[in-house]
Amino acid sequence: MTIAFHVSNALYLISYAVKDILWLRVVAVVANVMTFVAIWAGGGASVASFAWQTVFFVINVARLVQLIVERRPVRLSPELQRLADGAFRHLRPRELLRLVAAGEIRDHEAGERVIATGDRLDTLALVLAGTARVELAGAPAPVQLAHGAFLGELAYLTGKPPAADVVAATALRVVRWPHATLRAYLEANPDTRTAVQAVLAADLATKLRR
Amino acid sequence: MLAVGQPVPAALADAEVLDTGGARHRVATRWADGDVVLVFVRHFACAGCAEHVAALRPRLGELAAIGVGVTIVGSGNPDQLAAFVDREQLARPEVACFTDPTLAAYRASELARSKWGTIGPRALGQLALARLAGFKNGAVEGDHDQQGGTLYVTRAGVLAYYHRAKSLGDRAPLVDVVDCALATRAAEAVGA
Repeated sequence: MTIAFHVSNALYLISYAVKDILWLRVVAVVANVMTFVAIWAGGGASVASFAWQTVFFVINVARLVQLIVERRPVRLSPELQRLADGAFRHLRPRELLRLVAAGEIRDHEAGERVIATGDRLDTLALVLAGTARVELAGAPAPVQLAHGAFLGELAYLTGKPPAADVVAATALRVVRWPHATLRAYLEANPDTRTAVQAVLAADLATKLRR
Repeated sequence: MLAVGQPVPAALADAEVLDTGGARHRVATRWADGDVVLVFVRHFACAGCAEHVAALRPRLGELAAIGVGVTIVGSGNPDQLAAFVDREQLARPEVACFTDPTLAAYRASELARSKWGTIGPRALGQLALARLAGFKNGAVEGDHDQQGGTLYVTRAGVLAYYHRAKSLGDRAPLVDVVDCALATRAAEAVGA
């Protein structure tokens, strides 16, 4: 009992000295196991002591699994990799994946109307592939929107119906989020909210310059 | 408290603040050419205010890109303001800094005044966190008891956002300020 008890405490000591949180958890889990051994070898400790050690063990193992999962490399599709390298470069790849997963992927054929002037619009879309054309009455030439551009962002920001048609100029793939879903997601994920704000600001700055 | 959606009170628009050279400027000139985020800091050596400025600094370019200026107003003397601008690296086009030694602009903004907000348990906890984050509290350079605040004023002189700090570490969430800027500027883009 004494040896196992000292080994487990020495391991706890080492875990407190380790800087990396993953290794801290690994050593703490091993220390937990040694504590169980010490309890067993000593002929059994109090129920309270065993219960607390079990709680520590479960929490450490759960956090360890979470850390391992989060540290695994993220593989992005070529479309998302372009986003990660461009407009969403301030977002970690896993956060970008989660953001996209919160929406739905939609494919539009060339010539299909994606947004109609004056219609109620309750989704915000982001171009993943292809090109969209903004057709604004009275504008000298249609504006082309490609990969990484938002569609319907003015309606998202202002709550007003869109003032222009958006048509798929080529086969178009977008990810789109219902406004309420996106707002709730961004409220819960401040880093992603900051990154999305930066992209919206860049888009808006371009529109204000036109 | 000021009401969002209403014109800024004349007392605030007409209040005069000083630049680093001691020259007077009407506060209303700040939104004459475009929307402005008006940030009141407690005093120039306040750790909570330094923390606020540090959080604001990375978003200045983003706000400037959509035509929104940032003006920071403290309450020390012009020399203390100059030292603050230098220390906080605020000599840049996206931001303007002034001081309000008479507290006229601060009073017209109806911001809080509280000893409890400065030395109460919440404030001391916030101060401790600011110190841990590397922000030092220096000798008072301005008004000790005033609390900060953030106002978003459109170029039409209408208040679009208002945050009235209750203690030295209380500040407007920047994501909310940027959301307000995006919505206001987008409304202008669509002609609403």
